[in-house]
Parts: sequence; C-alpha cells; structure tokens
Amino acid sequence: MVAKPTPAGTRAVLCHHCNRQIDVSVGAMTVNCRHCNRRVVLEDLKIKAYHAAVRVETAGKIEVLRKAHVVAEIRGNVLDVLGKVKGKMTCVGPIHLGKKAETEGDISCRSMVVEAGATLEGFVRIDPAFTPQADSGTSEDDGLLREDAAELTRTGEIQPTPAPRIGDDGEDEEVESLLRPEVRKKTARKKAARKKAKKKAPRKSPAAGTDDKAE
Amino acid sequence: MIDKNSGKTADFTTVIGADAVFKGELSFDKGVRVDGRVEGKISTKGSLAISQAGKLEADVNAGAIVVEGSIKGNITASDRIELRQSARLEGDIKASKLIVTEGATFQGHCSVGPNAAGAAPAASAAPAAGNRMAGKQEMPRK
Repeated sequence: MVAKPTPAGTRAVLCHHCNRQIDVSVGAMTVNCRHCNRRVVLEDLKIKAYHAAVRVETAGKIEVLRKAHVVAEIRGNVLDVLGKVKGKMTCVGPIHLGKKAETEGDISCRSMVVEAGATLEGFVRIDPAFTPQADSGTSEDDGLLREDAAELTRTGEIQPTPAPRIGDDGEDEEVESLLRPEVRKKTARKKAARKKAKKKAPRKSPAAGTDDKAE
Repeated sequence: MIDKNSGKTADFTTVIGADAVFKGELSFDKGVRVDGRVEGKISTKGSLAISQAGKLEADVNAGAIVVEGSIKGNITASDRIELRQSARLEGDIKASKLIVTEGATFQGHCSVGPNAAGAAPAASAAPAAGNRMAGKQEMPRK
C-alpha cells in the first residue's frame, strides 16, 4: 500500500476509528475524519495523576507520567509510559515503558522499548506489520460515547442543552412520540392536569371571536 | 557479538554450533550459547544466549536469557530476559526483568516483575545429582 504524499503544511495521520489516512494541518487539535465523519483527536495528551475512563485515544502522543495511574483503554500514535496503566494499550507507533512503569493489560504495537525494572502483565504483540482494528461503530461503541459524554457533563466541561418544552401545539406531538416512555407519561399527566384546571376555572367572555384551542 | 553491552565476556561453557541440530531435553549448569537449532527443552542455571543464527523450538528455563535469534516456545528466567533487535519470539515470557530493544518481534503472554520471578519455576529446580523431583519446586527465600 503506497502512502499518498502529503501537501506542505500538513501531516498524515491515521484515523483511529476507520484506520484510513487523513491529511491534517500541522497545528490542528481535532479534526473530523473525511472518511467516517467522526471526531479525531490530534493533540498530545499528558496524564499526570489518577485518571479513570473508558477510553483514552488520540492520533498523537500519550504520555503517562511517573505519578500517573490510568485505568482505561489507551490508543495512540506513540505511547510513553512512566507510571501505572491498567487497560489495553494499542499503538500504531512505538511504545516506551520506563523503569518504573507498571502495566496490566494487553499490549499491541509495532515496536516496543522496555527498560529494566518495568512490570508487565498481559498479552503482548510486537509486530512491525501490526494494524490496529478499526472501530466497528456498534451500539457498544455508542454506549462508550454516552458514558464519556456523561462524565464530561459531570465535570462541567460540557453544558447539557435544555430539553424543549412540550406545549399544547399539535406539532409538538411529533416531538412527544420521540421521547422516552417515562417522559411521555409525565407530559400526558401534565396535560391532563392542565385540562382539569381549565374546566374548573370560570370561562372568560369571548373577546373578538378568539377561542382557545379545541380539545 | 552478544556481550557488547555488558562489557565483560560471558561465561559460555557450552556452545551449540551453527550446523548442530538437537532434539530433546538439554540441561546445563553454566552458560550456553546456541548458534544452531534446538527442539525440545533447555534448562540452565546460568545465562543462555541465542545468537542471530540460532533457532529454538523449545521451552527455555534459565537464569538470564539474551535473544538475538528466533524462539518458538515459552521462556522463563529467574533474572532477566533481553530481546535484541533481531529477536523473534513466539511464546510466553516470565521473568523479573525484561529489556526489549526497538525492532524485536514478540507475541505471547508476558509476566514481568519481582512477583513473576517467584511464580516461575526456579532454575535450581533442575534435577540435582540424578534425583528428579517432578512437581516439587523450591521457592527462593526472600
């Protein structure tokens, strides 16, 4: 397979979702893959302390510093582990394990450098022809993305968008049908309560022929 | 040259030549260097070096192992295992220290650390004075 030449000012990066090469600007931090249209993180990550997540992935370099403790599946272009990692590690490029590194999990990479003193436990595959598996994009992955989004919302990095209010308009019925059953029941109860309140309230004299909405 | 990094000549009492082919169980007390082909099992208390031309289809149990050739089998070392640039290993690794140089190829389960060495069958469990104690191993005292 011949790699396409990259234009000046750009660099070639492997999308960690679909495993296809994309050309990105040298200074870009994230980009949307033009093949699978999924977000590709390009920046280098440095983990300094305890970090637990489902997955930590980037198309750049991941550094786990000496005092760091990562509990996650890690995927990157270059991995430099000086601390503790618990989880599967997949790397397109080289993995370096320092003398104080402690890893627990499977490792797959094209090349590896292990210093004397490192602790490893797991299945290791070092193969120059290794190609990481592309994301299948199944519902399992959606579950992972949902968990990541929930975590980010909790930390305040992403503000949740407020849900649209359901009124008495007919066009809101379409929106209602998309809601979860519990939410549908709640809105139905609110509607019924509003109708009861209207029946009990004294009718206003009609002004200029305007009427409230029919039932 | 295998010992260019250590700076001292290894104690390779036994050398299996490049044209030699062994099939079976081999036991040694001191260092071994394999330039040929061995199938079966190798155990030694000293260090074991597989040169670039060496090919092993055997389970290895040694004090220290330096791999520059090809091994298909499980390797266990009470001290360290070193995979050099031309090393090709298919099998499980158990050692207290592991050194991997860029370029080495390896596929298998890896258990490296001070506890892994304790769990590995010690090289001193090799048959002594002709007495075989199958299934009984002496754990090294801390």
